[in-house]
Amino acid sequence: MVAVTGAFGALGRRLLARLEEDPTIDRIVAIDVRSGLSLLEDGNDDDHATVLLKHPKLSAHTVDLTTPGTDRELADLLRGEGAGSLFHLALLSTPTHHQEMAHELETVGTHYVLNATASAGITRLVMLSSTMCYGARPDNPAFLTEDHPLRPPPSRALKDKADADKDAGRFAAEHPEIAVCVARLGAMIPTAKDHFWTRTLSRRLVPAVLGYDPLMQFMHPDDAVAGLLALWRASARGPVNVVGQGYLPLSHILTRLERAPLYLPAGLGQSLVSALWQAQLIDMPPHFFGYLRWSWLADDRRLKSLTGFVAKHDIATVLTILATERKMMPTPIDEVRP
Amino acid sequence: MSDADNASTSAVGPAHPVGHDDDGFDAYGKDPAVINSLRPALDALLDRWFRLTIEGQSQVPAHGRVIFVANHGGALPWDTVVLFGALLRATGREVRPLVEDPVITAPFLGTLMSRIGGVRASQENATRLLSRDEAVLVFPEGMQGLGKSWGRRHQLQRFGRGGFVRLAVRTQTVLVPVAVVGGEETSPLLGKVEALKALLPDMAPWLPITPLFPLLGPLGLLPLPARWRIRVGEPINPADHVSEEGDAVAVNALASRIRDRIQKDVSELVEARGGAWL
Repeated sequence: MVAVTGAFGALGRRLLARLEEDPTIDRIVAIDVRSGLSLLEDGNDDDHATVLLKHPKLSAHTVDLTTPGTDRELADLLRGEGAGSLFHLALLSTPTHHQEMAHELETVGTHYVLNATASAGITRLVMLSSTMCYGARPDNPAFLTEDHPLRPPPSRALKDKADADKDAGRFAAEHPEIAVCVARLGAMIPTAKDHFWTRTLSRRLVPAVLGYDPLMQFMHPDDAVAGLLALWRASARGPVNVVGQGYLPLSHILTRLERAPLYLPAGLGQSLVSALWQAQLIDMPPHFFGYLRWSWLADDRRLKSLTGFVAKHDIATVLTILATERKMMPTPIDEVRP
Repeated sequence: MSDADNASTSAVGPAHPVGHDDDGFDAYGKDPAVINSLRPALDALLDRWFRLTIEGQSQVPAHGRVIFVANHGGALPWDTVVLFGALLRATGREVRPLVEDPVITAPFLGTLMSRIGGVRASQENATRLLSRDEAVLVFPEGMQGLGKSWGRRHQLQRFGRGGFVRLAVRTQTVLVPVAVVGGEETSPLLGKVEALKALLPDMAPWLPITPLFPLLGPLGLLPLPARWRIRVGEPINPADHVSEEGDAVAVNALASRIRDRIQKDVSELVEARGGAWL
């Protein structure tokens, strides 16, 4: 029995599909703030009863992790369903101007999930984090390992995620009986078209920092889900970087995507992005500008040694998929498979 | 992607799975295409503009990990470019210079350094490179070397705290001292404006004043036609001098010994060169 929070998000739906294919899993508990069973059917008009017939393992529950006291509700739900493992995917995949909601969901919501995990007798927990939490900084080593401290920029979007990551680390130390694994995912493309990296790299003009050309990693969401499953199967513990294969400088990425860079000087660009973000005219938090300036490549040796997992798509393939999908717009990017 | 260059194993642990991607980059940003395109200009710069001569290159190990230890000088790090080109031509090895933060993080300059193989100077990065049996170039004087005034040219500064010796001991790597002369005359540092640091904290800690910069604007950054000399010294096995990385006294003693050796070679090269420009 496996439970999934954030089950109807872009990653959650991919994970549900993989779990349903697995004959060793008899039942899946899908938990989400959205009552989104119809999302599983790619927009079909089937009623819920029909959808459930197509997904016989699935049990769907609507839970809002931003509601105070949700830990008790969640613990009762997990205990009642007899869940032994939990994937906690209910974190934001893109920055938002709704910062209070983001804080309640990512930091406080994760706190509730951890409480419920201990109370419900869950033995394996895999939760999401991001390699962006390491921060993009000039003094980063060429590869960031899991031992590197999390130094997110003073951006609410990443600080909340990093706090949730650290909270899980403390929780794991207090509960050695639970295999707690924090999967720090690298940037993913193509995802939903309103997600940060997919949206940024799909623009005709992509912001870039004058005089800088950092190496970047991108991962296909199917590989991210396969990495999460590999960690779960291995009962992995601790933080683990999950990133795609390969790396390219931003300039080469834009060439492959046939996008033009909009070069901005570092100081001026940061101020401009900050002003536009404050005015809610753009969806790029000001400190994200640093991720286009400094390297933040993550090392996935730990993932490979724990699970033997290697992402199927290298960065060239992922970029080709994004470029192809962009040309096919307005087809929703997140519905297309490689 | 190829993991062909991961085959090396060593006392420093398994090599990182860094290969070359479809565009030829390695994980530190080195781009063979940039190196190839710069070769003609680099050859012209070394032969015609700098009239470079090199001696002792036969002592460079043809394969395996090696740490070149060189002196550092000049307002701009021309010695990094010259040593990269000279060792490439003389030995066929593409050395990986460990570059100080203010240089590797500078706009354009830092990117160029990365493309020819430069890596931010850190123990972690150097260890990874050596685990792949690469040749690493270190400047133990660091920014103190680049910040030497014209009056102190050809005088080596303190060799840090012996980090390069500890690196060599830990990774069982031979040290090859290299004396280089010409950097200070190519880009003479006459003064420094340090107010820049407060205005642009991510940039260089000072704005250099040379005979042509900032007088001629960006053109003032072009190199003066100094005559360059390089002498490659005899390789040193660190294990012959330091039994363990934690022996700080022995580490510093070997660092000082190498520094003295390079200082002696620098002085001899300056003496033998004669005029710096003509």
